[in-house]
Amino acid sequence: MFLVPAFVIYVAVIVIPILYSLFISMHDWNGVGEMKFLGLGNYIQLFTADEVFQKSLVNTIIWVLLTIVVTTSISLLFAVMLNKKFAGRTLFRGLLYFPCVIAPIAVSIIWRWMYDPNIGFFNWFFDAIGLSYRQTWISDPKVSLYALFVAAIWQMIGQPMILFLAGLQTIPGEIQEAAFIDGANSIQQFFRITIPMLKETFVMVLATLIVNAINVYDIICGLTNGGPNNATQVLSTYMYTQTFQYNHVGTGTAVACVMLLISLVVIVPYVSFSARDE
Amino acid sequence: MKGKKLAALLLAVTTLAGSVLAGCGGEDAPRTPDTPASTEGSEGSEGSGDSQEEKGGSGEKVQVNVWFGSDAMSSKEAIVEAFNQEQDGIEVIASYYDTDGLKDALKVAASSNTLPDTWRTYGGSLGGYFVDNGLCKDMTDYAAEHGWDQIFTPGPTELCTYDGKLYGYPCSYNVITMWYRKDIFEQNNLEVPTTFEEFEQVCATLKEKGITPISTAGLNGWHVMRLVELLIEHYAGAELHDSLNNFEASWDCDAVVQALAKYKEFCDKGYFPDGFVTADPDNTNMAVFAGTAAMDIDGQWFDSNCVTNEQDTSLFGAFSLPTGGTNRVSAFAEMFQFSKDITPEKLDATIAFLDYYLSDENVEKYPDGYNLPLPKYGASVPEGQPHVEEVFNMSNENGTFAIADQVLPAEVADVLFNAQAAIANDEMTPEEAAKAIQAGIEAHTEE
Amino acid sequence: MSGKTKKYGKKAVLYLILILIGIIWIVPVLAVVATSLKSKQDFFSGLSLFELPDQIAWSNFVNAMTKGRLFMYMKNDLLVSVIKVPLGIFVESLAAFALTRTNIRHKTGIFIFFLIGMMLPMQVALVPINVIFNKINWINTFHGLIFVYIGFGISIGILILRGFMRGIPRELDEAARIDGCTKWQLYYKIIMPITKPAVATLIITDFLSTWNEYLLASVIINDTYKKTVPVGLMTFVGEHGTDYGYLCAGVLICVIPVLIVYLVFQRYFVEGISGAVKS
Repeated sequence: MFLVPAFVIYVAVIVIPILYSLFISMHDWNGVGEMKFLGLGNYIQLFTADEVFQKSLVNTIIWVLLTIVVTTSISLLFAVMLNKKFAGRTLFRGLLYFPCVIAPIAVSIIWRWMYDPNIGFFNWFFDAIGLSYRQTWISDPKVSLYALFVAAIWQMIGQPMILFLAGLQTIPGEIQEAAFIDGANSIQQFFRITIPMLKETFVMVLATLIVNAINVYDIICGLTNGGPNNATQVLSTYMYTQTFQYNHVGTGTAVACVMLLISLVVIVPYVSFSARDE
Repeated sequence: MKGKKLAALLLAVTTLAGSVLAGCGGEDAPRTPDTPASTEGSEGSEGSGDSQEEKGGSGEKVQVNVWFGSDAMSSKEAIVEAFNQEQDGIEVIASYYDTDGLKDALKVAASSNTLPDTWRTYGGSLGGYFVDNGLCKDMTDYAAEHGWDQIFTPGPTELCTYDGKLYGYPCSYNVITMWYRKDIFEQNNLEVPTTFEEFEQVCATLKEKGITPISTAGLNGWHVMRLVELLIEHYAGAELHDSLNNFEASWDCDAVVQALAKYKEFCDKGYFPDGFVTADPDNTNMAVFAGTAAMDIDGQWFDSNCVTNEQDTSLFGAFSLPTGGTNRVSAFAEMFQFSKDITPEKLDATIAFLDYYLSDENVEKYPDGYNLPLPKYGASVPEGQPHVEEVFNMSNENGTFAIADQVLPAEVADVLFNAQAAIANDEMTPEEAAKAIQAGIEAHTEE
Repeated sequence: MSGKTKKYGKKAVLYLILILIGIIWIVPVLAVVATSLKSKQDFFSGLSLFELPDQIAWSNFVNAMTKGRLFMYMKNDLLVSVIKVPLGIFVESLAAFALTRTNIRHKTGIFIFFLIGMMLPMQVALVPINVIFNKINWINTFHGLIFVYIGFGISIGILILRGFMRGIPRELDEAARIDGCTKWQLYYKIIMPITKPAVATLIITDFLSTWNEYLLASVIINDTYKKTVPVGLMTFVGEHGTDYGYLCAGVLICVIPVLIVYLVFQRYFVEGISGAVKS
């Protein structure tokens, strides 16, 4: 009975679009006009013949791995530091969370300026500290994906951080105190006590981070839109391009279904595994 | 009991899903003659009263839905409001979108059969989507009846014509030329180039003096393309360039390769700003305004950009790149298209509004609400924009070619744009790029 | 004695690290602040993006509020968010409660079913939602927008609330049952108060994502007077170039409500759950 309201809304907003997408993804369709049934044709085409799709799949996987390793550890580190009692704690928490609240359109403008080789921050900074190192950042296909990832961390670290912070509240205060004061012991304690006690938080953080990483769109669209030459193309930008730019709605929707499928494949075993051992 | 509830829910879901699929299904979808459902939606908050209004008969106002760009929104809103107040028969309901948002909203509306009565789009391949899919009204007869050939100039009309049929109400005509900082040229004893070699010499001198010769930006490809298509014009000449644009000639040819090789040479010589490959084309004028770059490739709206950004227009001059022949420049048009299901009554109302919106009085009153000058005979040129007339005289004398991103279908244009980035980053040779573009064209025509 | 110095030393190191991180985090924001204070001439003068102009141009802020109608967009967005967030959390907490505190079968299966929503790329939902909403006249309505937002928020809400509710000891349920609590009473008298830190977290994240949501809002709302902040902000972007001073000022103004929500609710992280359990 408690589930009914959620279920009703969920079906209307989520389940219908999913069924619709599965249906569309099996057709050749330009958005209007006639649909031609292809079965799994779109999927086969994507995986066997579409180099851009494969490139974006690889980029998405890199992005997910980076997110799991880098974003999770940095946000946990920040949360642990900011969970300690000290003057100015609220200020620092607010500061690190602040980028989250900025409208995405401004985030891409900001990082466009940070990375601009002529008027931007990084190259100016290298000049200022006397390094002659120059870099075109997001224009360099070898660097651009990672440069975007740095911008993404800056922007979204606050979200997992506050989840960890909330999670840390469930750990009795004495244990945390001990974990910080006791020098060499603290690291051990952190891994032996804090992390196991954050198990539920980890499920939440990793699940949201992974899903968000698979669907990453705003920051890439705003900064490089998949360029240069598809170097930062990810599944979501490619889906968008296929659907809205090329009018290959069937192909684009198939990409969306692949994204959904990847999320399921990663999340379902993880969640059911962590749900079982109670 | 729980089971029953669930079954009922599932039933509801399948019915709903069914209706969605039918609504999106295109051909077999039931299309009501009384088009966009968004008519009702626009005043949905007023409750059930609106359905009455819809069917209210001749005594009621004709409602017209217009979707256009959100730039200079306050001017457009003032115009819409004035129009709604000045007469009793028509009520215009306007929606404003940013440039990309409008394109996406139109695609979504096309797929869900909810297009407005009229919308702003571009000539060429972008507007062609609505033409090819039978979503917009063929205006040829209407135009003939109302003597549009006496009103609109031939250039823009041609760009809104597909297979000999006119599919829209031309609302702007844009010509793209080179813009340069007169003071920078003077300081470095440079003259406006009259041959392509002189142009290269100008770039070399500027670079030597530490000034970026050409401000361009590669994000989404189209700004860099403006130079590349000029290079193609230079190496191919007018005739071959036109047949390339018609897909009659293969892009995998010497002229295209030479043009791309020259582009590569410019990249290597540092004629473009560092990191231009992913720079935002909206910002190319920043470097020119600040004086770190000497030239930009931009439309006649450069003047109005100067005005809105409080820059001195007299610092700038325009010239057509000496590509050889008549030194043609590229041009593109914007138009309003009309829903294919529009009733004659609504069409008249819509055009009455467009005539009003694009009237000389309003242009004078709200010069920022348009891409000026209007594509009409005797259109006035706004004050304080000294180059607009000059640029249009140039385009009339030199002739024009259609801009590449409106000639090429989006996926082929993207092949070109990706090639531009790849060539700049040494990931592709000009030869490979030319082959890739031609392959893209062939793949598209096969479809 | 040596323990104390060690403690101070640790604190100094902590501060040093935090200040360093703080600087890195604040630099990009400075560009926005500096730009919002520049006149157009200053912006194009070649002055560094991170430098303040000699003459501060407050006019950008005034323009954004008046000409840019930011106040109206914020009012709309606030209306949507203030209804959506509590309503959504109510719906989600009921479901999370059912998934952790009742005896229904297939809990994990139902949970995963509800998770799929956050995996769905929003873009594919645009057309079906547009079709349905046109049929039932929900285009350009706030309740339509709120309905869709609740739908898309369900997954993350259930994920977060379920996680915290699982952490609440089972013994509490037992104790409550012995005291004669019904399921409803267990929900609102015991479980919900304990879940406060999670609800606070959710309020912050949910308010934020509602406030900044662009895609769905841009399709469902096309009436200028009903636009939300991110859609309204996009009208600041011109076809041939953007007025950055104006846009940055707008962005900074729009941050204020989210910051307030954050500041109000972040203090719940301080109150530990353990204290609540004991009482």
